[in-house]
Amino acid sequence: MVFMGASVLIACEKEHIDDQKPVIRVIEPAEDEAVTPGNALHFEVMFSDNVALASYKVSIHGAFDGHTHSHNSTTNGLKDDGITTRVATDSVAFEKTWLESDFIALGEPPITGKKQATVKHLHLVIPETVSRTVNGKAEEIPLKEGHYHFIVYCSDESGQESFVAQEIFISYDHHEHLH
Amino acid sequence: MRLLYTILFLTAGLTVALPQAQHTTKRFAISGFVHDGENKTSLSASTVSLQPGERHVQADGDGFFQFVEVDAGNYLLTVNFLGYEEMSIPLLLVSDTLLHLHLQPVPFVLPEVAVSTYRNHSGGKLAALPVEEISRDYLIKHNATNFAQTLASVAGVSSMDIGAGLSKPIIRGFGFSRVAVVDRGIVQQNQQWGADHGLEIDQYDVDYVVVHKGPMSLFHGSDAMGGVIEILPPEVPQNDLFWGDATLIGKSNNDLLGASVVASKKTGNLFFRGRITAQSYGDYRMPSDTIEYLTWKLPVHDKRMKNTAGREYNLSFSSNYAGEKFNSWLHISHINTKNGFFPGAHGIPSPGRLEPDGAYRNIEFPYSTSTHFKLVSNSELRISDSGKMQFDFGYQTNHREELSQFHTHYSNQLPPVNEPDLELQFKLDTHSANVRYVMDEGKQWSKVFGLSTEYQHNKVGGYSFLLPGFDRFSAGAFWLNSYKWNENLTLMGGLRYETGKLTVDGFYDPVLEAYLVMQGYDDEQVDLYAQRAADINKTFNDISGSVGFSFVPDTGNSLQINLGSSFRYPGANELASNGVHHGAFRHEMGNSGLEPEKGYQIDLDYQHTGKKVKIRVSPFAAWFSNYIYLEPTGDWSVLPHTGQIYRYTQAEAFMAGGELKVAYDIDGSWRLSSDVAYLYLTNLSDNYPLPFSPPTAITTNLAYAGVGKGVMPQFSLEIENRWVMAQHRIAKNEERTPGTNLWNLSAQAQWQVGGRRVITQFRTDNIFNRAYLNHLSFYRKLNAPEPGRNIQLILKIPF
Repeated sequence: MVFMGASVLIACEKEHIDDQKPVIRVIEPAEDEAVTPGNALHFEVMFSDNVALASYKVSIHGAFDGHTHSHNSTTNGLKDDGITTRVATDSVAFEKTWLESDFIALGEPPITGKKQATVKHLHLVIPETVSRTVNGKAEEIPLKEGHYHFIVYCSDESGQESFVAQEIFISYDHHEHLH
Repeated sequence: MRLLYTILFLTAGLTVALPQAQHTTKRFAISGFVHDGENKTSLSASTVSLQPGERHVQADGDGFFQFVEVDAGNYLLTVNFLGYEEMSIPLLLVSDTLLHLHLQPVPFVLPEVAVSTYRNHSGGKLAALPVEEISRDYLIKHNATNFAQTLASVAGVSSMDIGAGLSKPIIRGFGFSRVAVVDRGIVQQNQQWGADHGLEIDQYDVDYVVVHKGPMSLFHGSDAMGGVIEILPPEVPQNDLFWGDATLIGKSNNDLLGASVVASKKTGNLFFRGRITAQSYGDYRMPSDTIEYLTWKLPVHDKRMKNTAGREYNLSFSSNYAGEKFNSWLHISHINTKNGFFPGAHGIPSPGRLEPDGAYRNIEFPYSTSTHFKLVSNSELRISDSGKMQFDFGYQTNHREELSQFHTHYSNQLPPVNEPDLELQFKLDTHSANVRYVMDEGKQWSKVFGLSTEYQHNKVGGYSFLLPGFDRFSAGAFWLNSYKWNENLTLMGGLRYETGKLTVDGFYDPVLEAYLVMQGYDDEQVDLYAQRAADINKTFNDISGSVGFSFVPDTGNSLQINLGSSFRYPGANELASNGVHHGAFRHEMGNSGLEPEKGYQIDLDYQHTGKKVKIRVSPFAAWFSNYIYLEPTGDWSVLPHTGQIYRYTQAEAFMAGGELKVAYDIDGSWRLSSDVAYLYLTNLSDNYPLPFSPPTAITTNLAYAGVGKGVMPQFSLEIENRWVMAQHRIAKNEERTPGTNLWNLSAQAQWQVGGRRVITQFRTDNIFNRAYLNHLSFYRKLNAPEPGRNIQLILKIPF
């Protein structure tokens, strides 16, 4: 009896739900692209969804956290993240989030409602220094050099969300960074 | 010596020699030989006891025993030998007596989940809900790394696993705070709301467990809405005895080594038992050397999941006083676990963090520790033949920590001076008290009136913040009835009123505030994020109830139908939390407007027990008026490492499904059985499935039980196929999980070595070392495969 009820419900469920997540293709920056503080990172991304896109978000933050050790090694073309050329205490990890509204303010058309959209030629500026306030005293501190995560999030109108993460390398002298 | 956990029957063959020549004194000797009833070998080291007089001896190498200087009179002589049916014979001693006792081997019970009616400790059956009774024997046979995983072999029960070490139980898709674990009458309160928390129960200290599927709020209040896992106290033997066993466990997949030793003593009205368990394991092996996550191929060096090692030390003590009118238990237990987390599961993984650290048994950052101390007292006072009072008191403290080398996204946050790597800390104290008055027990209309209260105090610490501190008090009153209409039909029903009060300590995060100000957000935005928890003071009330019947027309058939309602108070995390849940990479936001969750469920349970065929079908359907879940809001969080803000929301939900089990006894030795568990869980507001829906699973097994000769008197073999369907019914932002087909093999044997009985349990899981994903696993979102082939051996040596 209960099983029957369940099967009737399953049969009725054909009312379609969107179970596809949006697709993100990052064209630029390239995986492990190097950037020098004070310069801009070139950003070009293609979004698509089976129904309708909603919005996107970009975030850069240090990939230094949480693990017990650091090695200098290369595996599968990806690098370890602990490499720094400055002492950690006198540098600070850069961290910034850009919402779609920030890009719209710069003249980028919104992606809402579209099935496909390309956001391109945007420049994400990596500042030369970061300001920090410790004990009420503001100071300018250089960026911590090393690997950073560059993450792009995208959502569609039903609330499905996807993200891609890749690494960028921030260094005051990016020639030191060996590929 | 007896096999403690096997139900013993008295069907022994017996020859009593004729009394020898009379002596003139009034004292005589009783002597005899203990033999195996099948092959006539002598059973040395069997325990023989004589009542009254409390005398015990052990038979020697020839199976010979003797009591001397025994006064003439009436006696009960009892012989116990592990793996054999206990034999008791009444004796009128008028002369020296020589006995030849032939013990029959216990038919080696194929461990299956017993499907008899539920015996709760108030006696009698009070809910017409499907239950699965699970004995020690079954638990050993299906032994996994922890208790919740071991239970997951029962149809309709699954486990949510964090690697190979920690797990929490799921009953018919209900998990987290929607399932209650009741240990000796007291609801275990730990951090069950958390995705990376594992149930703290020593699986070796569980003798008998009853899994109740269906709404149990009537009996156990909030949280028991999806079902209850009830751990019952050990059985106390009738005779005075000292016994125990040592269990040694070894598993190949994660190099687990474990031991559990128990010693029990029964003397007169008193019973004592102590147990110590220790196990330690290394990183688990998976059948793949890469994990494909996002656009990366992450290396898994040596096919071992880095830092998933763990260890566990447990202690427990139970004592019982059994008087004529008063019976009382005291249980004390302490669980202590430490488990590593795969470094890739905290934050976006990068290959450097997955480099081997040179050892497999070490536990590095990040890891979690938890301890659970519990003191439980159960007492029963008999007032009349049909009336008794029962009292349960419990105090428990759960202390869980997550440690991770200090890291922060906020450049203004400095490591704390003390315990700089303590990321999260939760300390939950729970005091519980239940009183029940059982009236007209065993009569046509029996009733139970009960009161229960619980007080919780939760404190938090650490450099991160996830759950606020809170105080919760709840009190309930219930009235249960069982009315025997006639020999075949029993009606059951009851009502419960419950009231609760929750006070949440708000928390405003100054570090996050400074960070957001620095990032240039306005005051409104800053407040929205920096208020990590709001001050909340909420009172809840609920009335729940159930009605049902149990119809047993004959011994071969039974039908029960139950209609019940259940409820659950929203947790502090659901009401007040605000921030990135580091394990889920999600910004989760509480909702102080949540009302208690309320569900209505119909359950049907039909069992047919024929001579050769057993069938059981237990379907259910439930409707929730306001199921609490996390809904993506479509608004991006400005915090790093996270996408949209997910907000706790309530919606109507529908759940249906059930289990079908068929067993066929091919002959006395062979048995084929199969079960199917199916679930359909839907959010009615948007038609998306509910999150964490367990996929359909079909388990089929072929078992052989045999009786051998010589050193291996009994053995059983079992081959099992577990076919898990793909799960395509996923909530928003869940991943589809492909199905899998696994083969397992197990062999159990009893050995006779030097007069001792030794039990071995051998098991191979995932024989073909198949790589598969578990839809409910914590590491599922990383696409990390589950453990590969595991060969395990358990050795149980009674003493």
